[in-house]
Formats: sequence, C-alpha cells, structure tokens
Amino acid sequence: MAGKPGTTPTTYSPSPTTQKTRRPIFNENDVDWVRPDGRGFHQCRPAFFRTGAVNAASGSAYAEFGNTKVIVSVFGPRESKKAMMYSDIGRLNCSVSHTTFATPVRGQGSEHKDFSSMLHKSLEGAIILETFPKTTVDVFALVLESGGSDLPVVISCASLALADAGILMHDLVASVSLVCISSKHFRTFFRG
Amino acid sequence: MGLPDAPGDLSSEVDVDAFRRLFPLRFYERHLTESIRPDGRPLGRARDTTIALGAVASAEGSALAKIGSTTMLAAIKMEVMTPSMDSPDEGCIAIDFHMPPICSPIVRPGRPAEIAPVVSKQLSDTISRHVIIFSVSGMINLKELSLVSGKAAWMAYLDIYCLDADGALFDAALLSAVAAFSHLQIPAVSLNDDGKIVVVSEENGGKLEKDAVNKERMKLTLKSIPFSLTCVLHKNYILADPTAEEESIMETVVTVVLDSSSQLVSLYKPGGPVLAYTSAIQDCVALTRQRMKELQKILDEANSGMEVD
Repeated sequence: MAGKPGTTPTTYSPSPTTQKTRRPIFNENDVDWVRPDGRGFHQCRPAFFRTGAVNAASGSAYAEFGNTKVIVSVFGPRESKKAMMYSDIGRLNCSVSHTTFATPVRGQGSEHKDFSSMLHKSLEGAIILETFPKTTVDVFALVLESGGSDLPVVISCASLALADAGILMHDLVASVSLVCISSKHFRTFFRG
Repeated sequence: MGLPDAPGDLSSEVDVDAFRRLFPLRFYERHLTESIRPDGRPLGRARDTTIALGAVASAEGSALAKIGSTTMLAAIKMEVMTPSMDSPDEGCIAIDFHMPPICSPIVRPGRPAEIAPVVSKQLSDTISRHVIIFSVSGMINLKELSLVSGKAAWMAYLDIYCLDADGALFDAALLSAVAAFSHLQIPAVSLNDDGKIVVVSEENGGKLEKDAVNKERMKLTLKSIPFSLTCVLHKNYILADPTAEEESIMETVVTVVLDSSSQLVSLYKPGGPVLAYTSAIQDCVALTRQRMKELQKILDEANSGMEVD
C-alpha cells in the first residue's frame, strides 16, 4: 500500500547494527563480568503479566519481560474446522506471529512456524483435552516487540491466557530460556 | 414458546440476556426509544478514548489508541529509499493495516477478515492521498521526508495492528496512525563513505559529522490532522461510535473524516438498508465536529505528557 501507486522502491534500514561487527559480550578472562543491563547471571528481566487484555477473546493475557511484549488470545472451545476428523478429545491449535515492527529491522509479519509448533508442544501436556471433545481451542500469540527470549514469554503468557479462558489444565506452564557460555567456566545464565 | 413476531409477550418472562440474544434488534429498539444505549451511553456519545505514545521501543514512532474496547497499535519504522524521478525531493509513506487472529473470533490464520482491506484502503486514502494531492493543506509535507535530493529520502512504513476489535475500527486505526505520526522522531543520519545513509549514534557521531544530512532528531510538522467518527443509522436514530454488536445488528454505517480546521476530508456510506437524508448526513458531520475537538484534546494531552517526561 505505497503512498504512490505503482512504485515500490527498495528500501534499507539506516541503523548501523546491521553492518557492524558485534562487540563480544563476554570476556573469558574477566571473572567479575556482569551483564550489560546489570543483571546477575541467574536473574530474569522484570516481568509484568495481565489477564483480560482482549475483550473479544474467551481468554487473553499480556506479558512484558523487559522490552519483549507479547499478547495472547484464546478462542473456544469452538467448532473444529470442517475438514477435521471426529476426535474423542479436544484439539489445540497454536499460532505465533510477529508484528512487522517487532524487530530492529522491519520484518514481514508472517507466522513463525517453529514457534507455533513449539508452543503447541509445551502446552498440550498441561491442558486436559478430554474436557472438550470434538472441539478446538485456538491459541493465537502476537509478539508486539521482540526484545529477546520471545518464545518463553509467549509460552508463559499463553498458559495464563488459557487459565483466563477457563480451559481446564493440570497446572500453569512457566518457561525460561538459558544460554550456556564459556566451556571453561560452565556458566549459565537466564535470558528470560 | 412464542413466535419471533410476538416477542413483546415473551419479554416479561425471558431473562434479559436471552432476550438480547434472541431478538437483538427489538432489544436495541426498546433502548433507542428511551434515548439510551445498552452500555449506558446517550446516542451521540463516543466511548472513552485513550492514547498512549511510544508503546513500541523498536519503532521510531508509535502509539496505542483505545476507543472503548477497540484497541489499535500503530508504529512507524523509517527506512531509506531512492526517490522517484518525478519527485526527487519527496519521501514516501506506506500504510498497512493488519487484523491478526488475536483481535476477533471471526479472524483465523489463513482466513483474513473481510473488513481489513477496506479499512486499509480508507486509511491510505485519508493519509497518503490527502498528502500528495493537497501537499499544501495536507497533514504531512512529503518534502520533509527528503534527505539528499534525487539520492535519498525517507520511506515511512506505518503498520497498524488491531489488537481488539469491537466496532469503529477505522476511527481507532486513524487515531492511532495520527498519534504515531505526532510521536515520530526522525533519527539524525549522515552519509557514509559507501554513499549509504546511516544513523548517527553516539559512538560514530564525531567522525561522521561533516557529512551529516540532518544533525538532530526532528519531528514532522503536522499541519492539519484528520479525525473521524463512525455513526450507525437506524430508522431516525443516529448512534455515534458503534460497538461491534451494534454494527452487526444495524448495518448502515456513515464515517465522516474532518481535519482540525473542520474541513471535510472524506465521507463513507458503503450502502446499507437505511437511506440517509441530507439532514442525517449533516447531523453526522455535526457529531464528528464535536468529536474532532474531543480527540484533538486527547491527542494534545498525550503529547504534552510526553514532553514532561
């Protein structure tokens, strides 16, 4: 939908991060190294959760971890797609996508298939699917801003949204991603 | 059980919620005769409206606008392009409106909402066309987006996401779009050795200063800002700022867009069973003029709140 019809000029982002070589974030010899934002190795970013973010949905939640901002809506249990076979237990359908402005360089805003299937895998064990036979629960996530560790924030937020929708679960699902650096020191730290 | 044509007899026995679901039109007409709407609003009043600027840190300008439950997130990302031959000293604006599946039970992945391209077209007509044809009186002067004449200009990618759809989508989308433009800060950039435009950061700012294209972060001057109000027409009633429920029951919609000097920018009445008399259109315009002042105030307050920070 360009301002001038018929012309779609190619553009590039002027932000210098794309062409610059990254500064190493960890110095092996520096034992007292601290993370750039001042966090300890095992410390998560400040988190914020709120349920009921979207009125149109059966259940929803908004989560913010540092700069990572995510919104998840849950719809259903509702009628499965026509093409679906009869099923004794309920179905779970997950979809994760990013906004075009979520990343420093403008993206396409299409569905993130890997995240969708990983979200499905992490949630299906927690939901008591037997309670809604023949129907589907849809879990849709939108990453409004990507500040790192998007998937664990999506998973934690989705679990909260499912609870908000009144879907029966064994328990809430919490998630965090870790990075292991420097084989010498065997140090791990939370990215979440 | 009674027949649908005799709901009056049923109403005393049936629970209010059931009556609302079974006879939505009858339910609304009962309210309308009392000049009130089920959510407690008078017919001409819009829902509570809020604007939050700078909601997305990864974009150069952003705003979250809420009208009742309808929520829109607009963000602008600035990229560099080579301007066209016809207008070597003008930038460009690309507008996209998205309705992701999170916003409404009607939208599912692979099955987009029918209304999304309609709103998208209305938005680009209101913002882009308005700019290009009447660049003197329009909202944005595209010449301000020029960097090096004939070589480089800004392309402003405006993306609007509907986070919660509860009627009056165009009004909320337009409000979030103009708010994002009012928040937009164009980064300071300079020309590097390869002839590319790069952002001046604190680290490389010193050595590139001699090629600086614009030295400071700057804001666009917004000359006249378009504001809109959608009304639903039903019989002789005009309902301002309808909810999704009202839009689905009473299908005739009129959207009026006025700019901040009360000039008519656009008027949409996409069919519908109710035909509008001139007086009805005039009433819609009058309601929009009133609403425009409210929205202008809300936007000014949001902007002055940012300056304090």
